[in-house]
Amino acid sequence: MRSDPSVFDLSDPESNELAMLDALAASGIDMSKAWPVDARLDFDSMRTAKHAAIDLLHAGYKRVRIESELVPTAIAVIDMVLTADTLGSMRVTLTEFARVRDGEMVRYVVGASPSVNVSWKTTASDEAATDQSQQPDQQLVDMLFAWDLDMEKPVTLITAVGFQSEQKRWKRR
Amino acid sequence: MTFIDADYREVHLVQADVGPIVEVVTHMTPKVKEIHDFRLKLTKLAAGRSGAWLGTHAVARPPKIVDTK
Repeated sequence: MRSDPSVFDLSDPESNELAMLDALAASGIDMSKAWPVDARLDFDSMRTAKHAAIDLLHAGYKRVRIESELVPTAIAVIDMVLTADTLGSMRVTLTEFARVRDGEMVRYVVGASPSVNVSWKTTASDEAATDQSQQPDQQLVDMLFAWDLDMEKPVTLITAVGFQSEQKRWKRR
Repeated sequence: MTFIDADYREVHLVQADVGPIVEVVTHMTPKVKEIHDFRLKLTKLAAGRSGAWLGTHAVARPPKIVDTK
C-alpha cells in the first residue's frame, strides 16, 4: 500500500509526526508557509459529530465541516506552519477534545482543503430587492458559463452572511 | 452554530470589522433556481439573527470522490 506523506496516522504519533514532516519537506513543499490541516474527529453518530462541530466553533476553530461518508466525522481545518510542536500541540488538544465527547481523533491530513480567503463586501445591499431577484444568481451562473465549466457538474460555492457585532447592535439601541 | 444545526455541512467563521461573517460551503450544479433557492433559505435563516446575505462566490469543483470498490 502506498504511503501518503500528507496523511498522518495516529498509531505511533511522535515518531510518525517527525517522519511525516521529513517526507513533506523532501517532497518540496514550502515548510515556512501555513498549510491547511484537516483534523478528523470520528464519532458514533451524526448527532455527536454535529455537536462536536458546534463545540469546535465555540472553541474558536474557524473552519469546520462534518462528513458522513464512512463514519460520522467532525473536521476542523486549521491553517498552520508545520512543525513538530504545532502538529503535536494540535494533535494532543484535539485528541482530548474528541475523547471527552466519546469520539476519537483518527488522523489528520495536510493540504487536503483548499485555502479560502474571499473578500466580501461588508454591507448588505437592499435585502428585499436582492431576495426577490434572481439577478445575482444569474450573474454567477453566467460567470461560470464563461469559465467554460461543464455546467452539469457540481461546483463549490461559498455563500456568506454577515452579522452585526453585539457591540454595534447595542450602540444602536 | 445555527447553520450546523440546520444541517449545513461546512461552515466558516470570519471576523470582519463590521462584525462576524459566516461562510457556508456547498457543492451544487450551477443552476440559477438552485442557487437562488439555496440563497433564500440561507438568508431566511440568517435574518432570524439579524444577518444579511453578503454574496456568493464560486471557488472550485468539489473534491473528486474516489470509489475504492
